[in-house]
Amino acid sequence: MEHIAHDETSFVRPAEVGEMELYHAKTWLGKYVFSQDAKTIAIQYAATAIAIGMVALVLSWFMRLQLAWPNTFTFIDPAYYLQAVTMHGMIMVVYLLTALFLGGFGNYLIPLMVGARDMVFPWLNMISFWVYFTAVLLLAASFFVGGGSTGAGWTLYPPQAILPGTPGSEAGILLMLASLAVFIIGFTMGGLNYVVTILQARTRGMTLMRMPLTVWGIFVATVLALFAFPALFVSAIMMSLDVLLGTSFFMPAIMTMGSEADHVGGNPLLFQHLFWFFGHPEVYIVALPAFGIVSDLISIHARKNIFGYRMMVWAIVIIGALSFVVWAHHMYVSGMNPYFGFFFATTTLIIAVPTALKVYNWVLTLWQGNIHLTIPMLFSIAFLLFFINGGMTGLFLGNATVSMPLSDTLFVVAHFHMVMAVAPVMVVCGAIYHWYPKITGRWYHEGMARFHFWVTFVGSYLVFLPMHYLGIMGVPRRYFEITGTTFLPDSAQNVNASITIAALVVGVAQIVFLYNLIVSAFNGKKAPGNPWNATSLEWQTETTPPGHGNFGKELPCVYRWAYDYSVPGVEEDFIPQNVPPRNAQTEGAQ
Amino acid sequence: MSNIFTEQPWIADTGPIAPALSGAEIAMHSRRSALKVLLSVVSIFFMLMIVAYGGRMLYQDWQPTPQISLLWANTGLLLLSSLCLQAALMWARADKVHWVRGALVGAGVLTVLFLAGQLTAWQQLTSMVLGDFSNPSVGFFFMITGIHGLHMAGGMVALVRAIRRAFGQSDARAMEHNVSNCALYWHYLLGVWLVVFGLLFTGNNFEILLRICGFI
Repeated sequence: MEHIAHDETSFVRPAEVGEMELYHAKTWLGKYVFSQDAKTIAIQYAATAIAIGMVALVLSWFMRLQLAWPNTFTFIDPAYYLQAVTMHGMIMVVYLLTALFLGGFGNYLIPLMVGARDMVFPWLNMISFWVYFTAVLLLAASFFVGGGSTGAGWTLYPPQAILPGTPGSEAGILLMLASLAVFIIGFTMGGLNYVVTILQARTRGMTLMRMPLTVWGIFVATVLALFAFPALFVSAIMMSLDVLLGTSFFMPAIMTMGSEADHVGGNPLLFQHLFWFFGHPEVYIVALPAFGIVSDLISIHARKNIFGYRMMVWAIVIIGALSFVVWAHHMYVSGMNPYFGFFFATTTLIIAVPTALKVYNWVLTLWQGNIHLTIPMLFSIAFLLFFINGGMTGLFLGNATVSMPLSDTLFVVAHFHMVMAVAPVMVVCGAIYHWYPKITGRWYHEGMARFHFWVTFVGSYLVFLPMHYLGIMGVPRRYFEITGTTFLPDSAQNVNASITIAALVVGVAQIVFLYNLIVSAFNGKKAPGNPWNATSLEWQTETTPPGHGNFGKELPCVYRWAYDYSVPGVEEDFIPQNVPPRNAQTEGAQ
Repeated sequence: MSNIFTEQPWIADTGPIAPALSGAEIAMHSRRSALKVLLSVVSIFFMLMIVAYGGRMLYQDWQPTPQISLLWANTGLLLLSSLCLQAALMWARADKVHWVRGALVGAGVLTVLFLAGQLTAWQQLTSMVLGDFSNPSVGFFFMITGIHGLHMAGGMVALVRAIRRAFGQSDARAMEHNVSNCALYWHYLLGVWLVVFGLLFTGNNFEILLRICGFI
């Protein structure tokens, strides 16, 4: 092999401009509470998201308890059940997954992976978190107001969402709408930071096409969120005005509780269009960071470069773009023009092409790789299985004619949990285990982590696979009780009970997970700086955990992509991105 | 210069690597970039409201908002404030400090007058519809003008900061970035207002457009 020799002084041009000025906190509050360091903000985001996510997990237990053993638990009445359904869905999708992927992983990984000292607007970043925190508090407050939280379903469809009779139609719905609006304002601040940092604060040599796919996934997801959340913001404002001022954006002339409501001429379908213009990209706001992260996990733990890097990048971009023209596939039963449905069915199925390319590339990366069955790799493989499973049922639901009979059944619930709940959560877990040694400087307990993986993986399958069959039988979603229904065999109830048992066990495993994370942060074995022998820049920091400013005196220079694993002729099976060609031990150099 | 379409990332560098993208360059350009991204988000925001307005117009019971002639005067005020900021930018480049200060203050005063004018228009419409907001077009008027007004009020925060800096230093060239960002924001929101005003609140222009496009 040819030996490429370089004189480093001529190879690395001197920086043309000075370093960005970092804010150094002088007080404990400034350092740990109102911190402007993206890594601290990331942990704040993650902790808040996981805390409110645990509330949503408990709500799902209540739902499952009622479905498995109807009317056994007296505190769960129909209103409470609907409130649990609604809050579980909204919290998991928006306040947990979106916040965790973009606010948590985005904040921690973007500056480190692109070789920046911090986000470009650290103060705005700090404000972004506290606005998010306020949104979570507003949401949580709705549990305690008169009438309780909204029970309108996470889609919040009017007119039912704001009519008397729906749980939480008084203060609950308003707090939900206010919380969403505040969340979006906070996210926009964070999103501007992520996008501008990636575009403008990359270190020398870090071209866009050398960025790890994790950064690409978070970048495109952030752009999607910036463009999709305004639709939710507009609909939240319009619905709030319908409630507070008596406008009629969404509220038609309607009889409620035996009397005529004050509204005239509003259009409920307009809300559905606005909501799903946000709602479908939201699926990819969650999925794309997961795609990016899992690509890196698979490559690192299979010791092989990612198959088809450029294809993977463009697939992320194309999926992101297409996600804006598929929204009405959530509205096939709204009475839309059949040609309209045909258009959206077509665009929906077209998305399967770049998505399938990604799946093939993940599998081809694993093919003949030096697969290490580490915890992150186990979760990555589990992600693949869940994603393929959920993706296949998506083909059913994307077709208008097949989707209609399955609409509002548990088949839909099983599908979206497989594809956008469990699959991304597998990536979240894998990613946390992967970066945990870098974030804390310590190892987690391997045994507990393996227990967590196997219970979560097998348990989630036991929850959601049988749910498809219930859906095909016609079991509806969002129903408080289905016993005594003549078209359902008794076995349907047995399946429901088994699903609930599995769900409770999976939930307990998450407590073990959190216990492991918290205890190991203090008592775990010390971890080295680059325990996975990874190439990307976050593993090349001077200290572990990385200090304020991420890198030492000098920012790293990047000479290669992040996927130089098992390079032929090189002694070690990885070459970090910041190793100059002359230092990479080629055959010629030996 | 790398090209995302042609770059072969699996090939390591064999020549001098690209110049730094970090440092003061970030501070100089990041605000501008963030502003452009923000304006893209704002565009989506107003586009969605206009589409929603159009979608509602297609129903037979649509009743347009009563015309408010004061909006023409308000439009003039916003146009003048935008022109003031453009003048401030030109004078900043020409290093004419006093002129920059005057133009910035002028832009601020005109914007405050615009916002006051919009509030007066709200009062006029409220009395025209006798406090009944159930007509969707009236709801849209309040929402769209309100959100536009909030954007202008938010811009005033940046403008006031630019004015304070302008009075705190004597180097007009140093003010250029701030003034330039304010000018871009004002021009853009003027453009948004002209589209919204022209399409939705001055007769039946939007209906004509929808007819031309075959929606009605």
